[in-house]
Amino acid sequence: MSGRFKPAVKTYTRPVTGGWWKENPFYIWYTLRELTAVGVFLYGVVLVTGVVSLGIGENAYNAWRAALTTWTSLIFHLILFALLVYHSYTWFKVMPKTTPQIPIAPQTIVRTGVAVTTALSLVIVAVLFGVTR
Amino acid sequence: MTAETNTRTIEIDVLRYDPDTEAPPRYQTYKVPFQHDTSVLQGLQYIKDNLDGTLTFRWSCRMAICGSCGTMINGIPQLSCHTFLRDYWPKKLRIDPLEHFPIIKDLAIDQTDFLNKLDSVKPYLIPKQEKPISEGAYLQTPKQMEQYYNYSQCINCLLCYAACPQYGLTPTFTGPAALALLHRYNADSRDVGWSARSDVLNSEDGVWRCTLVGYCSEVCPKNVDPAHAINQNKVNSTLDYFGVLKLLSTVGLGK
Repeated sequence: MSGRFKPAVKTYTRPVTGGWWKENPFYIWYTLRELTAVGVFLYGVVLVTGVVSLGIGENAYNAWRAALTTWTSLIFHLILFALLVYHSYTWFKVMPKTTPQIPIAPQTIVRTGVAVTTALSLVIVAVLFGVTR
Repeated sequence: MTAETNTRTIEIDVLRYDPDTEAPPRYQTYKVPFQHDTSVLQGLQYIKDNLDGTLTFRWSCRMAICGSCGTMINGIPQLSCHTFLRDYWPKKLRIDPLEHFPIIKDLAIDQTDFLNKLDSVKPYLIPKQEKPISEGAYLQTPKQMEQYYNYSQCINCLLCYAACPQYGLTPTFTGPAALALLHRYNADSRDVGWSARSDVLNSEDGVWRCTLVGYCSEVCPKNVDPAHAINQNKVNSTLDYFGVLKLLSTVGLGK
């Protein structure tokens, strides 16, 4: 950045290597947080495929539903679910950093977010289970 | 037990760089005697005074106030006066200059980039109306002070910049300390400088370059929490983009 302060005439700049994220456990957890977003994206792709197949017609929709019941699909979904849960947790973990200056302890914000989401998720699962039975 | 019998010896690898030669930086190992209360800074001072007078490093207050002695200690950005050799013995200790900054000599880094960024955020009160000293101080309540007090504790030690991979990858990023100090003044009830600072805050190299790694707040020796300052301003920046901040100020809810 240019400005009124001028840099030293001769310096040595150390390069940032491609493996920077492995140099500190904090960076590894951060990278994992970002990588699990790919799982969330893939989950979205599966759901959008369902919506598109519904738009195409009954046969396409039934084929999509049948594909979901295969073992490959179930294992794939279990992996995606684990990635989604972890990624969601990281969002709550950083939530205190995004709120305005409020007199509530950061841990309280995280725990409340996780508790409310867990409760709502269980309610939604219960309602869906009741509706689809 | 006497202090003499408590003395142990630790090996310290220090990164050396001499701008008068073309040679790249290299590590030099020193054997440093220490006691229970010897800080890493005191270890460096022992080297300078007794082993190698050519070693260059910055220091001043020795009590985590001035922010001069920041270094990478075993890869972690820390104040060397606030870190103790006993916590690393019997293993070796590695000391590097603060990451992401150009090296002037040995452990002394070039702070110019930060100084210009600090300058760009106008780190001073911009009051609605200047008044003469005879009219007294600009007053505010303790509750109003709470809004920015935490951020005013920054000592410009630059540990947060050394901890920020985004700054390392994109040096044009305004960075944690400068943005925390920008927020410190924007959050001050006596200040009306939002629009004067908004170009820096709203730009791609402002708050939006931050990906919330959050390590800046972890390493801060004064618990300033730059990550919080930056990320709450992503909301403010969005409100500013859609004109909501202006709307709020017209009805007396914003500044």
